[in-house]
Amino acid sequence: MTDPHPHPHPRTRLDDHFASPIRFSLLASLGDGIELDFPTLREILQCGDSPLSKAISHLEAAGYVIARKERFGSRQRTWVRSTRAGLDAFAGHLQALREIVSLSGTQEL
Amino acid sequence: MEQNPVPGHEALVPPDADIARRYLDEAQAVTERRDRAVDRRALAWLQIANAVVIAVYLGAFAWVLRNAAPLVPQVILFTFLMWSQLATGIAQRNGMQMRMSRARWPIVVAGAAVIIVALVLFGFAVWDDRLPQIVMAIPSGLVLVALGGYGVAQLIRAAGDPPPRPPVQAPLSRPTRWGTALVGVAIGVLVLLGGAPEGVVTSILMLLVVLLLLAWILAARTELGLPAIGAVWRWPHVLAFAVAAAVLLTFIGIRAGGVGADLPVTALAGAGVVALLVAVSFVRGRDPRD
Repeated sequence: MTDPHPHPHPRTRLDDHFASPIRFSLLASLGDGIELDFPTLREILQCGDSPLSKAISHLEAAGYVIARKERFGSRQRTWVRSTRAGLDAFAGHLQALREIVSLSGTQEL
Repeated sequence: MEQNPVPGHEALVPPDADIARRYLDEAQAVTERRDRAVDRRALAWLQIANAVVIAVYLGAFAWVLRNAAPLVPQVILFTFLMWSQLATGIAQRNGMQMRMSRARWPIVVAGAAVIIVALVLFGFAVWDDRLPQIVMAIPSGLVLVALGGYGVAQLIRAAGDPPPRPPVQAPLSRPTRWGTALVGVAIGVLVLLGGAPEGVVTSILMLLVVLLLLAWILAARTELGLPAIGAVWRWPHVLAFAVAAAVLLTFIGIRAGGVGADLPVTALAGAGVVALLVAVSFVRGRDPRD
Protein backbone atom coordinates (compact mmCIF):
# COMPACT_ATOMS: atom_id res chain seq x y z
CA MET A 1 0.00 0.00 0.00
CA THR A 2 1.40 3.37 -0.94
CA ASP A 3 1.32 6.44 1.26
CA PRO A 4 -1.52 8.72 0.06
CA HIS A 5 0.53 11.77 1.20
CA PRO A 6 4.18 11.17 0.29
CA HIS A 7 4.88 14.90 0.65
CA PRO A 8 2.45 16.23 3.26
CA HIS A 9 1.81 19.96 3.29
CA PRO A 10 4.11 21.78 5.74
CA ARG A 11 1.06 22.98 7.72
CA THR A 12 0.71 19.39 9.02
CA ARG A 13 3.90 19.96 11.00
CA LEU A 14 2.74 23.25 12.50
CA ASP A 15 2.19 23.20 16.23
CA ASP A 16 -0.71 25.31 17.50
CA HIS A 17 1.00 25.70 20.86
CA PHE A 18 3.16 28.28 19.06
CA ALA A 19 0.26 30.08 17.41
CA SER A 20 0.36 32.75 20.11
CA PRO A 21 3.14 35.28 19.41
CA ILE A 22 4.30 35.25 23.04
CA ARG A 23 4.50 31.46 23.21
CA PHE A 24 6.32 31.46 19.87
CA SER A 25 8.83 34.08 21.03
CA LEU A 26 9.27 32.34 24.37
CA LEU A 27 10.51 29.16 22.70
CA ALA A 28 12.55 31.19 20.22
CA SER A 29 14.44 32.78 23.11
CA LEU A 30 15.19 29.46 24.86
CA GLY A 31 17.91 27.73 22.91
CA ASP A 32 19.47 24.41 23.81
CA GLY A 33 20.61 24.45 27.45
CA ILE A 34 19.70 28.10 27.96
CA GLU A 35 17.75 29.00 31.08
CA LEU A 36 16.36 32.53 31.41
CA ASP A 37 14.82 34.24 34.40
CA PHE A 38 11.41 35.89 34.36
CA PRO A 39 12.55 39.56 34.19
CA THR A 40 14.93 38.76 31.33
CA LEU A 41 12.19 36.94 29.42
CA ARG A 42 9.85 39.90 29.99
CA GLU A 43 12.50 42.23 28.57
CA ILE A 44 13.23 40.02 25.54
CA LEU A 45 9.59 39.34 24.76
CA GLN A 46 8.57 42.93 25.50
CA CYS A 47 5.40 41.89 27.27
CA GLY A 48 3.75 42.19 30.66
CA ASP A 49 3.93 39.81 33.62
CA SER A 50 0.47 38.31 33.16
CA PRO A 51 0.72 37.28 29.47
CA LEU A 52 4.19 35.89 30.10
CA SER A 53 3.01 33.87 33.11
CA LYS A 54 0.12 32.47 31.05
CA ALA A 55 2.45 31.55 28.18
CA ILE A 56 4.84 29.79 30.55
CA SER A 57 2.00 27.88 32.22
CA HIS A 58 0.57 26.85 28.85
CA LEU A 59 3.89 25.59 27.51
CA GLU A 60 4.70 23.91 30.82
CA ALA A 61 1.39 22.01 30.65
CA ALA A 62 2.29 20.96 27.10
CA GLY A 63 5.64 19.65 28.37
CA TYR A 64 7.60 22.14 26.28
CA VAL A 65 9.22 24.17 29.05
CA ILE A 66 10.19 23.68 32.67
CA ALA A 67 9.77 26.52 35.14
CA ARG A 68 11.43 26.40 38.54
CA LYS A 69 11.45 28.85 41.40
CA GLU A 70 14.65 29.66 43.24
CA ARG A 71 15.13 31.90 46.22
CA PHE A 72 17.74 34.56 45.62
CA GLY A 73 18.43 36.73 48.60
CA SER A 74 15.05 37.73 49.97
CA ARG A 75 13.33 37.35 46.59
CA GLN A 76 12.08 34.39 44.64
CA ARG A 77 13.05 34.09 41.02
CA THR A 78 11.45 32.00 38.30
CA TRP A 79 13.79 30.33 35.82
CA VAL A 80 12.48 28.86 32.57
CA ARG A 81 14.16 26.44 30.18
CA SER A 82 12.93 24.37 27.25
CA THR A 83 12.58 20.60 27.29
CA ARG A 84 13.82 18.29 24.53
CA ALA A 85 10.19 17.89 23.37
CA GLY A 86 9.80 21.68 23.28
CA LEU A 87 12.97 22.18 21.27
CA ASP A 88 12.02 19.45 18.79
CA ALA A 89 8.46 20.76 18.41
CA PHE A 90 9.69 24.31 17.88
CA ALA A 91 12.32 23.20 15.35
CA GLY A 92 9.57 21.35 13.43
CA HIS A 93 7.31 24.39 13.60
CA LEU A 94 10.04 26.70 12.27
CA GLN A 95 10.82 24.24 9.47
CA ALA A 96 7.12 24.15 8.52
CA LEU A 97 7.03 27.97 8.43
CA ARG A 98 10.11 28.04 6.18
CA GLU A 99 8.50 25.53 3.84
CA ILE A 100 5.26 27.53 3.71
CA VAL A 101 7.30 30.59 2.69
CA SER A 102 9.30 28.71 0.07
CA LEU A 103 6.17 26.95 -1.22
CA SER A 104 4.49 30.30 -1.86
CA GLY A 105 7.57 31.45 -3.79
CA THR A 106 7.37 28.35 -6.00
CA GLN A 107 3.65 28.83 -6.59
CA GLU A 108 4.16 32.48 -7.52
CA LEU A 109 6.55 31.37 -10.26
CA MET B 1 -4.78 16.00 7.97
CA GLU B 2 -4.25 19.12 10.08
CA GLN B 3 -1.46 20.53 12.15
CA ASN B 4 -0.86 19.59 15.76
CA PRO B 5 -3.68 21.40 17.61
CA VAL B 6 -3.80 22.36 21.25
CA PRO B 7 -5.63 19.45 22.97
CA GLY B 8 -9.33 20.21 23.30
CA HIS B 9 -9.26 22.90 20.62
CA GLU B 10 -9.90 22.97 16.91
CA ALA B 11 -6.85 23.26 14.69
CA LEU B 12 -6.16 26.90 13.90
CA VAL B 13 -6.07 28.33 10.40
CA PRO B 14 -2.48 27.90 9.21
CA PRO B 15 -0.57 31.11 8.50
CA ASP B 16 -0.15 32.29 4.94
CA ALA B 17 3.34 32.85 3.53
CA ASP B 18 3.45 36.48 4.60
CA ILE B 19 2.54 35.70 8.22
CA ALA B 20 4.95 32.74 8.21
CA ARG B 21 7.74 35.04 7.04
CA ARG B 22 6.93 37.50 9.83
CA TYR B 23 7.09 34.71 12.41
CA LEU B 24 10.50 33.66 11.08
CA ASP B 25 11.73 37.26 11.25
CA GLU B 26 10.44 37.51 14.80
CA ALA B 27 12.33 34.34 15.80
CA GLN B 28 15.52 35.96 14.54
CA ALA B 29 14.72 39.25 16.25
CA VAL B 30 14.04 37.48 19.56
CA THR B 31 17.43 35.74 19.41
CA GLU B 32 19.12 39.09 18.79
CA ARG B 33 17.23 40.73 21.66
CA ARG B 34 18.24 37.86 23.95
CA ASP B 35 21.92 38.25 23.01
CA ARG B 36 21.65 41.96 23.80
CA ALA B 37 19.80 41.38 27.08
CA VAL B 38 22.17 38.77 28.54
CA ASP B 39 25.92 39.08 28.71
CA ARG B 40 27.24 35.73 27.52
CA ARG B 41 30.80 37.06 27.52
CA ALA B 42 30.55 37.79 31.26
CA LEU B 43 29.34 34.23 31.87
CA ALA B 44 32.27 32.89 29.84
CA TRP B 45 34.75 35.01 31.80
CA LEU B 46 33.19 33.80 35.05
CA GLN B 47 33.67 30.22 33.88
CA ILE B 48 37.35 30.98 33.17
CA ALA B 49 37.72 32.71 36.57
CA ASN B 50 36.15 29.70 38.29
CA ALA B 51 38.59 27.39 36.49
CA VAL B 52 41.52 29.49 37.74
CA VAL B 53 40.12 29.55 41.30
CA ILE B 54 39.56 25.78 41.36
CA ALA B 55 43.05 25.17 39.94
CA VAL B 56 44.66 27.44 42.54
CA TYR B 57 42.72 25.90 45.41
CA LEU B 58 43.46 22.36 44.21
CA GLY B 59 47.17 23.22 44.13
CA ALA B 60 46.99 24.82 47.58
CA PHE B 61 45.07 21.81 48.92
CA ALA B 62 47.70 19.42 47.62
CA TRP B 63 50.44 21.56 49.10
CA VAL B 64 49.00 21.76 52.63
CA LEU B 65 47.85 18.14 52.71
CA ARG B 66 51.29 16.93 51.67
CA ASN B 67 52.88 19.10 54.30
CA ALA B 68 50.37 17.79 56.87
CA ALA B 69 49.31 21.15 58.26
CA PRO B 70 46.41 20.42 60.66
CA LEU B 71 43.04 21.99 59.84
CA VAL B 72 44.49 24.26 57.19
CA PRO B 73 42.66 22.30 54.45
CA GLN B 74 39.37 23.25 56.13
CA VAL B 75 40.34 26.92 55.95
CA ILE B 76 41.04 26.56 52.24
CA LEU B 77 37.78 24.71 51.73
CA PHE B 78 35.88 27.40 53.62
CA THR B 79 37.31 30.17 51.43
CA PHE B 80 36.60 28.15 48.31
CA LEU B 81 32.98 27.56 49.37
CA MET B 82 32.66 31.26 50.04
CA TRP B 83 33.80 32.04 46.49
CA SER B 84 31.53 29.40 44.96
CA GLN B 85 28.52 31.00 46.69
CA LEU B 86 29.54 34.47 45.54
CA ALA B 87 30.09 33.13 42.01
CA THR B 88 26.55 31.68 42.02
CA GLY B 89 25.21 35.18 42.55
CA ILE B 90 27.50 36.65 39.91
CA ALA B 91 26.31 34.00 37.41
CA GLN B 92 22.61 34.50 38.14
CA ARG B 93 22.56 38.29 37.90
CA ASN B 94 22.77 38.13 34.10
CA GLY B 95 19.36 36.53 33.92
CA MET B 96 20.74 33.56 32.02
CA GLN B 97 22.28 30.28 33.06
CA MET B 98 23.61 27.45 30.97
CA ARG B 99 22.10 24.07 31.85
CA MET B 100 23.34 20.68 30.79
CA SER B 101 21.31 19.20 27.97
CA ARG B 102 21.38 15.97 26.02
CA ALA B 103 23.25 17.66 23.19
CA ARG B 104 26.05 18.56 25.58
CA TRP B 105 26.64 15.10 27.05
CA PRO B 106 29.91 14.52 25.14
CA ILE B 107 31.29 17.68 26.80
CA VAL B 108 30.03 16.48 30.20
CA VAL B 109 31.59 13.02 29.75
CA ALA B 110 34.92 14.48 28.55
CA GLY B 111 34.96 17.00 31.42
CA ALA B 112 34.09 14.32 34.00
CA ALA B 113 36.87 12.07 32.66
CA VAL B 114 39.45 14.85 32.99
CA ILE B 115 38.25 15.71 36.52
CA ILE B 116 38.45 12.03 37.58
CA VAL B 117 42.01 11.75 36.21
CA ALA B 118 42.88 15.00 38.00
CA LEU B 119 41.48 13.69 41.32
CA VAL B 120 43.36 10.38 41.02
CA LEU B 121 46.59 12.27 40.32
CA PHE B 122 45.73 14.58 43.22
CA GLY B 123 45.55 11.55 45.52
CA PHE B 124 48.90 10.23 44.32
CA ALA B 125 50.49 13.70 44.58
CA VAL B 126 49.32 14.15 48.17
CA TRP B 127 49.95 10.74 49.69
CA ASP B 128 52.94 9.41 47.77
CA ASP B 129 55.96 11.29 49.09
CA ARG B 130 58.24 9.62 46.53
CA LEU B 131 56.67 11.62 43.71
CA PRO B 132 58.30 14.98 42.94
CA GLN B 133 56.52 18.15 44.11
CA ILE B 134 55.80 19.14 40.50
CA VAL B 135 53.21 16.33 40.29
CA MET B 136 51.00 18.46 42.58
CA ALA B 137 50.65 20.95 39.76
CA ILE B 138 49.30 18.41 37.26
CA PRO B 139 45.72 18.16 38.70
CA SER B 140 45.52 21.96 38.75
CA GLY B 141 46.71 22.11 35.16
CA LEU B 142 44.16 19.51 34.03
CA VAL B 143 41.29 21.33 35.75
CA LEU B 144 42.46 24.62 34.29
CA VAL B 145 42.54 23.18 30.77
CA ALA B 146 39.19 21.34 31.05
CA LEU B 147 37.06 23.99 32.79
CA GLY B 148 38.96 26.98 31.45
CA GLY B 149 38.85 25.52 27.94
CA TYR B 150 35.07 25.26 28.18
CA GLY B 151 35.00 28.91 29.21
CA VAL B 152 37.18 29.88 26.25
CA ALA B 153 34.85 27.93 23.93
CA GLN B 154 31.89 29.86 25.38
CA LEU B 155 33.79 33.11 24.89
CA ILE B 156 34.42 32.27 21.23
CA ARG B 157 30.74 31.36 20.78
CA ALA B 158 29.74 34.74 22.21
CA ALA B 159 32.25 36.65 20.07
CA GLY B 160 29.55 37.91 17.71
CA ASP B 161 27.23 39.11 20.47
CA PRO B 162 26.47 42.83 20.58
CA PRO B 163 28.41 44.76 23.25
CA PRO B 164 26.70 44.47 26.65
CA ARG B 165 25.03 47.44 28.23
CA PRO B 166 27.11 48.92 31.04
CA PRO B 167 25.63 47.84 34.38
CA VAL B 168 23.57 50.40 36.24
CA GLN B 169 25.53 51.31 39.35
CA ALA B 170 24.06 51.90 42.78
CA PRO B 171 25.38 52.06 46.33
CA LEU B 172 25.32 48.69 48.09
CA SER B 173 22.26 48.22 50.27
CA ARG B 174 22.82 48.16 54.01
CA PRO B 175 22.55 44.32 54.33
CA THR B 176 24.86 43.82 51.35
CA ARG B 177 27.35 46.30 52.79
CA TRP B 178 27.30 44.43 56.09
CA GLY B 179 27.66 41.15 54.22
CA THR B 180 30.68 42.45 52.32
CA ALA B 181 32.28 43.62 55.55
CA LEU B 182 31.53 40.21 57.12
CA VAL B 183 33.35 38.49 54.26
CA GLY B 184 36.35 40.66 55.20
CA VAL B 185 35.98 39.82 58.88
CA ALA B 186 35.79 36.08 58.14
CA ILE B 187 38.91 36.06 55.97
CA GLY B 188 40.69 38.54 58.25
CA VAL B 189 40.16 36.35 61.32
CA LEU B 190 41.45 33.31 59.45
CA VAL B 191 44.54 35.29 58.41
CA LEU B 192 45.03 36.42 62.02
CA LEU B 193 44.86 32.85 63.30
CA GLY B 194 47.55 31.85 60.84
CA GLY B 195 50.06 33.28 63.31
CA ALA B 196 48.47 31.91 66.47
CA PRO B 197 50.02 29.04 68.43
CA GLU B 198 49.19 25.54 67.18
CA GLY B 199 46.83 24.42 69.96
CA VAL B 200 44.76 27.57 69.88
CA VAL B 201 44.65 27.48 66.10
CA THR B 202 43.33 23.95 66.07
CA SER B 203 40.37 24.58 68.36
CA ILE B 204 39.45 28.13 67.33
CA LEU B 205 39.74 27.47 63.60
CA MET B 206 37.44 24.49 63.81
CA LEU B 207 34.89 26.45 65.83
CA LEU B 208 35.06 29.46 63.52
CA VAL B 209 34.79 27.43 60.34
CA VAL B 210 31.72 25.59 61.62
CA LEU B 211 30.06 28.73 63.01
CA LEU B 212 30.71 30.85 59.93
CA LEU B 213 29.48 28.16 57.57
CA LEU B 214 26.38 27.69 59.71
CA ALA B 215 25.73 31.43 59.81
CA TRP B 216 25.99 31.78 56.06
CA ILE B 217 23.83 28.76 55.37
CA LEU B 218 21.17 30.36 57.59
CA ALA B 219 21.65 33.71 55.85
CA ALA B 220 21.65 32.29 52.32
CA ARG B 221 18.02 33.28 51.78
CA THR B 222 18.48 36.84 52.93
CA GLU B 223 20.21 39.89 51.50
CA LEU B 224 23.13 38.94 53.75
CA GLY B 225 23.54 35.66 51.86
CA LEU B 226 26.63 35.25 49.72
CA PRO B 227 24.77 34.77 46.39
CA ALA B 228 22.87 38.03 46.98
CA ILE B 229 26.15 39.78 47.81
CA GLY B 230 27.90 38.36 44.72
CA ALA B 231 25.00 39.51 42.53
CA VAL B 232 25.65 43.18 43.26
CA TRP B 233 29.44 43.11 43.40
CA ARG B 234 31.39 44.81 40.64
CA TRP B 235 35.05 44.34 39.78
CA PRO B 236 36.44 46.40 42.71
CA HIS B 237 34.66 44.11 45.18
CA VAL B 238 35.77 40.95 43.38
CA LEU B 239 39.33 42.28 43.22
CA ALA B 240 39.29 43.04 46.96
CA PHE B 241 38.06 39.49 47.66
CA ALA B 242 40.82 38.08 45.42
CA VAL B 243 43.46 40.10 47.29
CA ALA B 244 42.06 38.95 50.66
CA ALA B 245 42.03 35.30 49.54
CA ALA B 246 45.58 35.66 48.18
CA VAL B 247 46.78 37.05 51.54
CA LEU B 248 45.13 34.12 53.33
CA LEU B 249 46.64 31.58 50.94
CA THR B 250 50.07 33.16 51.32
CA PHE B 251 50.01 32.84 55.12
CA ILE B 252 48.64 29.29 54.85
CA GLY B 253 51.41 28.41 52.41
CA ILE B 254 54.05 29.89 54.69
CA ARG B 255 52.67 27.99 57.67
CA ALA B 256 52.41 24.74 55.74
CA GLY B 257 56.01 25.27 54.64
CA GLY B 258 57.00 25.17 58.30
CA VAL B 259 58.15 28.78 58.56
CA GLY B 260 55.17 30.38 60.33
CA ALA B 261 54.51 34.08 60.63
CA ASP B 262 54.44 35.91 63.96
CA LEU B 263 51.11 36.81 65.50
CA PRO B 264 51.64 40.60 65.16
CA VAL B 265 52.29 40.16 61.44
CA THR B 266 49.18 38.06 60.84
CA ALA B 267 47.13 40.38 63.06
CA LEU B 268 48.21 43.34 60.95
CA ALA B 269 47.49 41.46 57.72
CA GLY B 270 44.11 40.33 59.06
CA ALA B 271 43.21 43.88 60.04
CA GLY B 272 44.27 45.02 56.57
CA VAL B 273 41.95 42.46 54.97
CA VAL B 274 39.03 43.60 57.13
CA ALA B 275 39.77 47.26 56.33
CA LEU B 276 39.98 46.49 52.61
CA LEU B 277 36.58 44.77 52.47
CA VAL B 278 34.97 47.41 54.70
CA ALA B 279 36.36 50.15 52.44
CA VAL B 280 35.21 48.43 49.26
CA SER B 281 31.72 47.97 50.73
CA PHE B 282 31.31 51.72 50.18
CA VAL B 283 32.15 51.42 46.48
CA ARG B 284 29.08 51.46 44.23
CA GLY B 285 27.90 48.05 43.11
CA ARG B 286 25.45 46.89 40.44
CA ASP B 287 21.86 47.88 40.72
CA PRO B 288 20.04 44.64 41.67
CA ARG B 289 17.57 43.41 39.05
CA ASP B 290 13.86 43.60 39.77
